[in-house]
Amino acid sequence: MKFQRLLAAPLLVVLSTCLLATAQAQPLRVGITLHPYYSFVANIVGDRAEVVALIDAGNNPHNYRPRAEDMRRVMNMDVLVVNGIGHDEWAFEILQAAGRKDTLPLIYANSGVPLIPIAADEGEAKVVNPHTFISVTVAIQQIYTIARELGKLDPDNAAFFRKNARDYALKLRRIKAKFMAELAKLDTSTLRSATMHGAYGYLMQEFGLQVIAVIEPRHGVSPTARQLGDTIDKIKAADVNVLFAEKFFASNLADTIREATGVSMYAFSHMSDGDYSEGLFEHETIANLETLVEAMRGINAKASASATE
Amino acid sequence: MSAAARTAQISSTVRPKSGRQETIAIALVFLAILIVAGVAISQRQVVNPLPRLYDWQLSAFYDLSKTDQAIHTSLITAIPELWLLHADLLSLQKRGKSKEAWPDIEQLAEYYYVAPFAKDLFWSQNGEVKWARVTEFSLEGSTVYHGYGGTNDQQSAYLVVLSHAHKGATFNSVGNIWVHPNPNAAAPNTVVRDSLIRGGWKQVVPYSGAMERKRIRS
Repeated sequence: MKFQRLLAAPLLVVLSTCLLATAQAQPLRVGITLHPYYSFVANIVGDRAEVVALIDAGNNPHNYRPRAEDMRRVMNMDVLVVNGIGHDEWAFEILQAAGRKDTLPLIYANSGVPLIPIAADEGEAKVVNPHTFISVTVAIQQIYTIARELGKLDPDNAAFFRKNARDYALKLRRIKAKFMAELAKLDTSTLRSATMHGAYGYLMQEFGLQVIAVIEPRHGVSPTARQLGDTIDKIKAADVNVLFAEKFFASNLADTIREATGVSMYAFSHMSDGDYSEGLFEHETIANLETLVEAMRGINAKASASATE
Repeated sequence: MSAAARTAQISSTVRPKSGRQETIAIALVFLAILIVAGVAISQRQVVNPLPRLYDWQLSAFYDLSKTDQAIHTSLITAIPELWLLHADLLSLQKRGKSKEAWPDIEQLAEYYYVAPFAKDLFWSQNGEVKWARVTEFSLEGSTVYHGYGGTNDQQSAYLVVLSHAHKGATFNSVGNIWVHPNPNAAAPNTVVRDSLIRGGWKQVVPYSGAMERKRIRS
């Protein structure tokens, strides 16, 4: 009996040490609200944390209504990365409903991002553009913020996260540089663009391009007949030659405007469709930049055709 | 019993309740609603998330031209990159492999493609600003990147002031951006705030996501 007791004590110590080590080695479960944040976090953490999407893919983040399974997911997260400036307010409803409002650490990806107004809002009340994830430059700012904050929660992996963030940032900058070089071969001074949705201000800004008009006052909110008429007048007056619609949010308004004004139409990705993946942000960024180059080539071709006429 | 007698037996006088009391009661309820609503409205504070600006400051969101706003956004994003490269160079310096503590413009532009230093479409569309790292004088322990010579309308000159981080900081994003209405303004001899202000420089205050979050929550 005495021998058994003597053996039990060290065994208990060894067992509890093992359990503690296992608990500590448990990788972080990092929640995300929007598709690009999945890519950002997945690239930062590599295989040293798990990335969990708060809502199922295939939903429109602009008008999402929380569901029961979202609450179940949020219960198993260690931290949640949010846009926090108007594009994922439903996440806060989910946190509230699940009772994790005060217990789940949040990473506000945009906390240090200098925000800009929705393009063409000048002269009226300026409204913050929350689409900071559709841009390389501003995405990098968010990637660094996320890496820094994750490093605070998991200090053992902080250096690993930082290195991955830097590598990822450089990779994204190289993609941007490639398209910058493509665009530099074209005459961009003649681009006069409008967008269906106010999502592309940051993207256009980083290429030194301007958006003259935004058709939908807010995403999914159709303009009134008067607003549409005013927009058509504005497009004609400003001599807009390209309208950027959206890949996954088809709108017959775009066709109406094209018929009324004769502008060329191209479609950008809003980066909120398809499955969550590590490579989504890169793929969709490349697709958007290819669209931009294609639009510019179209304008250049039209200009040279009219010059020869 | 005669009909007249029966009528006399069942008739009684009913006095209407005073209309005055009713009016007073309704007025009191009305007043109570007004008081509660008034108190609620006065207690509701719409938080202005943008800190109060001094006359030597500008809001990046409200006050900058499109060109200045674009350059400001790219500079803010460049700041954490500058600090990370600074940490790399310090580590190389310790091993005797680098003389520099901060990246130069060529490194930023050619190797790291950091806007607004890279000479790309963004650079040409935003006034072809010339950039210089200011190292030839002491700036109170700060490092400065100076942008000048921009050619766009309403374009400013720019300063990025990176004050040295406390010991052990490895992932810093601290830096201040100043603009001067003269796009050809020379680099200052000091980055002491009052001197910059006297020299006509204005500090740019970004409208950050943290401020917008504060506004949404209010």
